[in-house]
Amino acid sequence: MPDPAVMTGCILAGVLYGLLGSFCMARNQALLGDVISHAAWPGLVLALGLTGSRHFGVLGVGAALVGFMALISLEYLGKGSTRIKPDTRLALVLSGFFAAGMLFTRQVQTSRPGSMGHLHSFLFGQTAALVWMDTAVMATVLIPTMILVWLRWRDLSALCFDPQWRQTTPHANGATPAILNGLLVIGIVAGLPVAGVVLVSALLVCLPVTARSLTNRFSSGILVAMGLGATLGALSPLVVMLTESIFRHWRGNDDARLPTGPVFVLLGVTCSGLSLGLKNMRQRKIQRMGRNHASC
Amino acid sequence: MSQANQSSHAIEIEDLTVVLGERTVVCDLDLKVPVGKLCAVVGPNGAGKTTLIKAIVSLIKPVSGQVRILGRPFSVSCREVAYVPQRSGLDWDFPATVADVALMGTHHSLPWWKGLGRGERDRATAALAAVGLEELRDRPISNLSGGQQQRVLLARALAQQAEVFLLDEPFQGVDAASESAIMRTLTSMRDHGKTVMVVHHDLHAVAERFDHAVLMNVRKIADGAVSSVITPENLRRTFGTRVGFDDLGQREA
Ligand SMILES: Nc1ncnc2c1ncn2[C@@H]1O[C@H](COP(=O)(O)OP(=O)(O)OP(=O)(O)O)[C@@H](O)[C@H]1O
Ligand SMILES: [Mg+2]
Repeated sequence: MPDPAVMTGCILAGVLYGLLGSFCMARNQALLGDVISHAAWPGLVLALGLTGSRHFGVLGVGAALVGFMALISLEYLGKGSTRIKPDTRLALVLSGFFAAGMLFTRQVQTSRPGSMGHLHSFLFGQTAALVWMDTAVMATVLIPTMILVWLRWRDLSALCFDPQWRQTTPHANGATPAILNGLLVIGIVAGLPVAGVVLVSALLVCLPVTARSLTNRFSSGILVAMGLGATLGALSPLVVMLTESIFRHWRGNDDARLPTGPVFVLLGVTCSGLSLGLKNMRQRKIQRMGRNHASC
Repeated sequence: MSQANQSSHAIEIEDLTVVLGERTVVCDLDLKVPVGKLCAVVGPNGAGKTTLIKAIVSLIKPVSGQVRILGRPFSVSCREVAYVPQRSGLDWDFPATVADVALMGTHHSLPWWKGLGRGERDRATAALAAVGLEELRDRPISNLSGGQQQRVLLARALAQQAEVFLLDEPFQGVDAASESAIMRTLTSMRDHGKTVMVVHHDLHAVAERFDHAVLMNVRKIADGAVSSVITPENLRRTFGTRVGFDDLGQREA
């Protein structure tokens, strides 16, 4: 059996990213997660450089702080003239923060030799090394997110469909989107041990994309995305275990373990592709039926 | 005195000036719209009509001036105000059905901790029926035509059961049948004592069907009863020298 901590971590990550990702996609901010995860990188590196600690509790705080800074700079760039389009803004902040991260990396590499290996596990994720502590962090993000969505559901769906109109409603306050964004930052940082800076945002995108092509409503889409996330989260450590034993059987006892994070992402992306393909096929079938109908 | 204001004026604007970027878009505008009027806001493209509506509902912060709705600031009276944004500004790919959007309008009067009840659903259904969309209630909004989209937004506003309605170009890209359906709804709202303010480009329609009009081009040119506002002189001052009443009507038709 796969390690239960790994399994639980993957399931929780799937549920969390299904939920958070649905909101990102509905607000046309699919890349926001990518920006935050790349901005978390300089935070990780700085925290390691300054404290020398390798504890995720310490590094995660650094990552989250810089993630919040990225969020604030996005806000700031969006103010005033609207001539900078959202995607341009995202690209600007992503590359700026990641470039800073690369500079810090070089510094830390020289000042604290031997720490790079550890940082690399955050760049690409190291799911196999998940411990119960990591899953606990994930759960402490997931629970308040679910409560927020439950309590402010109507406000949040208005925010996604028509943010300007929402601002004219009596219940609208700035706190709800701010809390949602804050949870997104913490959620992404919590997911870094699973999928790493580079891939974590893929989970944020592929789960809601699949759900979107299977459902027509926001609420059911979120449930499907969360369910799919849990399923794939449970599946990926199993796939890893299975392939490992197959490899072992074929090629002797060499260490051919697949990394769990990329397997998770690949499964998710495959599901997105398949669901979109299915949808297209269904549409084409309906169109064909329509044509036949019209000809007779 | 404030009591008297409250009963006679739905919208009162004093000295409103709005600057966007580096340009003054609305300049020193005073306006009073009496309760129970069907009021058109008319002006050329870029006259600041959208900006005016957004400033009324506090989406844009003016540099000076104040807005009162039913005698109170917007933050107090927002429950009484239904804002219908320009259709083109929305994300119509959002996964929701027609009924979902109409239901959004009922959130106004519902405390956030309460769930949607029978009453809310009935209100949404009635609003959809009023705009002739009850058959499409389960249709995803991404599959709607422009005129249908506009009517969904109107239904959402109707479900709000507001006193003051602010509509930004509800007739843009809408066919004649939808236009008269929307117009009928607006007129019946007016007949029920609601105040309806509509940004409109068709001067003939304004002259025929509205009671009140505001002509503006950055500054207010004229406001009051339609017959006294829509005059060749005022139109010339709003749209520039060479445009006459008939040209305008034809251009929009
Ligand atoms: N964000 C902005 N920054 C700077 N100027 C702006 C901005 N938004 C709008 N404007 C300018 O403000 C003016 C008024 O815009 P507004 O949208 O209110 O016009 P409008 O009367 O609604 O026009 P239309 O009939 O085309 O809808 C325009 O000249 C426009 O160029
Ligand atoms: Mg406009």
